[in-house]
This record gives sequence, structure tokens and C-alpha cells, in this order.
Amino acid sequence: MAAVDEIRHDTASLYRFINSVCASCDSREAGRTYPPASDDLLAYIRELGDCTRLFLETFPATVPLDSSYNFYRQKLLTLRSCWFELHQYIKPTADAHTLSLPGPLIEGLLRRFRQLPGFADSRFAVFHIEKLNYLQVVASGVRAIAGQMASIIPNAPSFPSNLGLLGIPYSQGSSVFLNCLIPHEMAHFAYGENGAIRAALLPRLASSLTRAFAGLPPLDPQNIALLMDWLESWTEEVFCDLFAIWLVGPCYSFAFIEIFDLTNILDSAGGLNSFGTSPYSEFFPSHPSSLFRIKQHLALLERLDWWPQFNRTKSHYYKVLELSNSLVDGHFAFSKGQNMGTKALEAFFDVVPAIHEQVNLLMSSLDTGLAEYKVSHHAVQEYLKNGVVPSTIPSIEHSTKVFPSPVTVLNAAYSLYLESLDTLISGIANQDPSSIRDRQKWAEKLESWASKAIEDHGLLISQKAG
Amino acid sequence: MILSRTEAQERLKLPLSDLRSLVITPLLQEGSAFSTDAIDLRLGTHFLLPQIPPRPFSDPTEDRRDSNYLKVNVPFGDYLVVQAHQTVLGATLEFIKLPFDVAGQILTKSSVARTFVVIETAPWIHPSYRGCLTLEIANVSNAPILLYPGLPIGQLILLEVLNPVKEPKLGGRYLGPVYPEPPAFENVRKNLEAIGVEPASIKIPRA
Repeated sequence: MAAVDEIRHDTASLYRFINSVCASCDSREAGRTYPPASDDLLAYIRELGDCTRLFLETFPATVPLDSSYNFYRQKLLTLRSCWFELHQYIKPTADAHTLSLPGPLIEGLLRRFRQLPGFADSRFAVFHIEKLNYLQVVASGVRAIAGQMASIIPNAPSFPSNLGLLGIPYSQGSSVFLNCLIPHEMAHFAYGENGAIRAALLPRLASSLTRAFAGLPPLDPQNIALLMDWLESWTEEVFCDLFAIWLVGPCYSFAFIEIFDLTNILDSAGGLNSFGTSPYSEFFPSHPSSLFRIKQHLALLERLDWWPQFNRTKSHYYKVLELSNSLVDGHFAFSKGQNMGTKALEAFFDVVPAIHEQVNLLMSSLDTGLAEYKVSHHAVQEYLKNGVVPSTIPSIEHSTKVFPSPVTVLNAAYSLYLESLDTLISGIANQDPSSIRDRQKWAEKLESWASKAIEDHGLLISQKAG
Repeated sequence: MILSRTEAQERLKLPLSDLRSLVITPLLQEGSAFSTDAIDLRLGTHFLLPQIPPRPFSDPTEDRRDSNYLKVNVPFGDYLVVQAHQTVLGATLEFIKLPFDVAGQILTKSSVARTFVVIETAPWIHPSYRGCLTLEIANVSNAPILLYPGLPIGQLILLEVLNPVKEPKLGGRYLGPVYPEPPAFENVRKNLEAIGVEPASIKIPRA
């Protein structure tokens, strides 16, 4: 085949691929609606597809076999790799319609997120992921792909501004409690977008590393890069945990304990199970140990004064948090790189206070919601125990009404779920608190009432005076 | 006796621990929601559209609650098209908790009724009920009509019950729904057998 024909063939092949990708953007199920940001993302990809196809149609019918051959070949290569990257987000986004997402929860969290300086216009497209995991696609990475294409394709649309991409497990759309992990993913977006946080932390990481390796033979550049990579990953994870707790309160920690099965560290007397802690004490290249993270959660919950609201005797989840405090630095391990791993941990422990400082700097203007929680959580729980959505509560004086915030509702509902689900079930005819099936059923109901209260809150605070 | 606006508003102020307390939430534009003897209720955002497949009939003796319906979410600002002579299950936006001594009745708002849309065929609400009210919406007109979530669609009448009974526990098959609920027939066969009737086995017509 002549070189001209090869190029023509490959151009048509890419054109065909983009055709089918764009068809996927359009092939949403009838009657489904999407979060506006997801609609924008799909519309962007669709428009980008139109522009790419128009551009491909302008490829000359006869390509000269001189320097232009490589010119066209390079463009085809870049476009194909960019479209391969975008391809992975389309179906999971099209699957994540409003019936399969915790819409009211995401909206409630977004309202709080937008109160942070610099994030007033942020929004999140949501997509489903197959693993039982939550993730935030690095927005700058997707924007870079979009930028690469825009540099090749005339009149290519710009990537929607202030857009983050949140991935949630496909099976957890109706869950409220487990989805309290979403703020951690919003935090990754904040970390990536706010360059000042990283700029402040990187020198601290480098100097901690230097201190940890003082007196030892100098490290080669490759090892330094590897160590910095580990330290930065751990730093970002801890930052995002603390951010999430500030945004939504201790319910984030409860969801964290649930998804990582951390109650397995307990023995039958409520103490530390010495056989069970080691898998949770291990650091990984991309993540710090989950028990170390929980220890940091507790430190922030204590500092923000959330912790005194929870009595360790009432739930084994609280015991996990409390016991994490007894774990000293030497309890944690990182088996990579032998001695290098131990030193990396030493450097990381040194930098943890600086991570707390950065979270304070970013979040201190945002009310934690604790003051309202202290006033309203008993009433919210009373409503929930009686099967009533707690979105409007007459104040004690009966002269005004309180519309509990999402933070109050989430934390009151989650702690009721952990402490007093039996009380709720015992109040319902023909239901048995010892039945797993009944517990599951009423836990789901509890989540639906909490979700409704969060949705109502958005309506109640945004209505015009009337 | 029908509760007046004043009485309903007083009961909304009572703490939940008071058995006579009434909850209606979110009560948007509260100032205009009350008439002298009724409270306007709005249409929620979730719907169940009856589906004919996979079987050409609905049988109350079978527990196939969800499979007969297509779930649809219509966000605020959007609308649902209900074709002429089509039916759909919707729900009130408001979650209601009735006092132990008050029953309720939901009626189609007169302006909505004049478009030949009926919202309820089982309008009675028992004392102590809690939940969003499922609406059996039927467009009995000869033209399609648009339903907008958030718009007032019904009105709630509250009626005092004489010598009310305080039930020791919450009960009922429909406790606490926040979205429209499909029918929950219970023990249909047992019920028929109790009166000496053997339910017929179903013969599925062949295509």
C-alpha cells in the first residue's frame, strides 16, 4: 500500500472510532437525567468529536511523501492517544444518571465546597467505577489532553472550566453513609487546583527527607525522586482526609472505618487485636496506612472539638478511632526499599504537622458546623427514630423553625445508625432488631430520610421570602 | 371536624414528642401554602411509570413490585409529559407526619383538576401516618399534559378523630417513603384462602 493510502486508511479508521465514541455520548437511556456538570462533560466530548471529524476531513486527499508524511502521522498519533484517554470516561459518565447517584448528598457537599475561597464556581461530573473505590480524576491531566487536542484542531472547544471528575462505585448510588467518602475526592480536586498548598508542602518534604537521611551516604537522584513521590502521595492523602473531616465532620471517619473494615482491629473486649492490626498498619507507595490516617482523623476531630460529642462505649467505630491514638510512630511499617522505607516514614512523620497547618489555612474560613450540630442533633435523631424526615424542626421556644444543615443531618443520622438503630427498629411493629434483614431495611430507610432532609435543606434555604 | 389553618399552624409548632404534633416538610412559601381549611402540597421529582412488559397484566398475588414500573427522576425546572389517558405514580414533595388524633385527605387542586388530571384514587391518610404521599396520577383528558415538579398539585385536608387510639408502635406497610411506592399486597393468597377461596392458577396467553 502506498504511503498516501496508509495515511488515508488510518485517518478514516480514527474518524470511525470517534464516530462510535460520539454515538455513545448520545446513547443515553430514555428518561434519564444527569447532573449538569456531567451533561457539560458529555456535550464537550461530543463537540470535540465533531471538530475532530471536521479536521480529519480536511486532510489532503494526496499526502506528499516528503516531510508532510511525518507531519500527518504525528497528528494522527496524538489525536488517537487523546481520544483513547477520553474514551474511558464516557460510558461510566453516561451510566451515572441521577437515579444511580446520591444526588442530594453531592449537591449538599458541593454547596459547602463552594464556600471555600477560590472554589465558588467549582462543579463535578460524576462517573461510575467498577471497583469499590472512590476517585478523583486529576483535572489537570484531563485538561492537558484537551489542550493537546486544541493545539491541533482548529476551533476545538475549551474544556469546561472549574470542572472536576468524581468516580464513585456503581453499586453505591443510593447509599448516603458510605458516600460520606466523597469529600475526600473533592479534596483531591482542591489540592490539584490550589497550587499554593503543594508549593508550601514540597520544600517541607524535601527538608524532612534531608534530615531523615542525615549522616547516611548520599542518595542518588533516582532514589530521591522515588522517596519524594512516596512522601507526596502520603501527604496528599492525609491532606484530603483532613479536608474531608473539616467539610463534613466525623461521618467521613465512620465511612472510612466502614470501607476499610477497620473494626477488625478490635478484640472481643474492645481492645486492640494484636493479630488484626498489622495489615492496617502497613504503608503503601500510594497510600499511608489506614490506621495512621485514622489517628490523624482523631487528632483533627479533637482539635475541632467534634470528638467530645461521641462516647466510646456507644459504638465500636468510636473505639477504633480512640484506639488509634495509642499507636506510636514505631507501630507503622513500610516494607519498600528496606532501610529507605523506614527513613521515608521518619521524614513523613516529621511533615505531618505541616499538613494540618495547610488544611487550617485553606479551611479556617468555613464553619465546621459543630455549633449547629450541638444544638440540633438530639432533635434530628429524635425525628429519625420516629421515622420522620428532619428537615424542619420547631425551635425549643416554638417561635422559629430550624432547617438542619447537611453536616448536622449526616452526622446525627450516621451516629444514630451506629448507636441506636435498635431503638428505631424496636419502635416499629413486627420488626426485630436482631434480624439482619430488618436491620438492613431500616438502615436503608434511615439513609433515605437523611437524603431527603439534605435535599429539602437546599430548597428551604434557597426559596425566596414569601 | 376539619382543622382550621390556625389549628394546623399551631400543631406544626409542637415538638415531635407531643402526639398531637404535625410535620409537613419542606413547607415552601409557607405564607401562601395555607387556605382556611387546607394546605397546598407540591409535586415531587420522582415517578414510577407503569410498564406492560414483561407480562401483559398485573397480578396482586405475585410479589413483583418494582419490575412493573420504570423509575424516572425529573429535576426541578424540568417536566414530565403524561400522555392522554396515561397513568403514573408520583409523590408529594412534602413529607408528612400526622398527629395521632388527626386523619387526612388529599384532593386534587381545583385548577389541576380542570385540566382533567386526577392525583388520587386512595385519598385517605390514617392518623400517625408518616411519609411522602404516593399520588396515583391519571391524565383523563384527550391531550398530553406536562407535570412540573415543585408546583402545587394537591391540597391536604386535616380532620380530627374522636376518641383517638395511641398505637404502641409505628406500623403500616408504607412507613416513611420519600418517593412513590409501588403497591405492596400482602398475603393475598392467604387472605383468599381464609374465606374459603382457592386462587386460580394463572394462564399466560400465548402470543
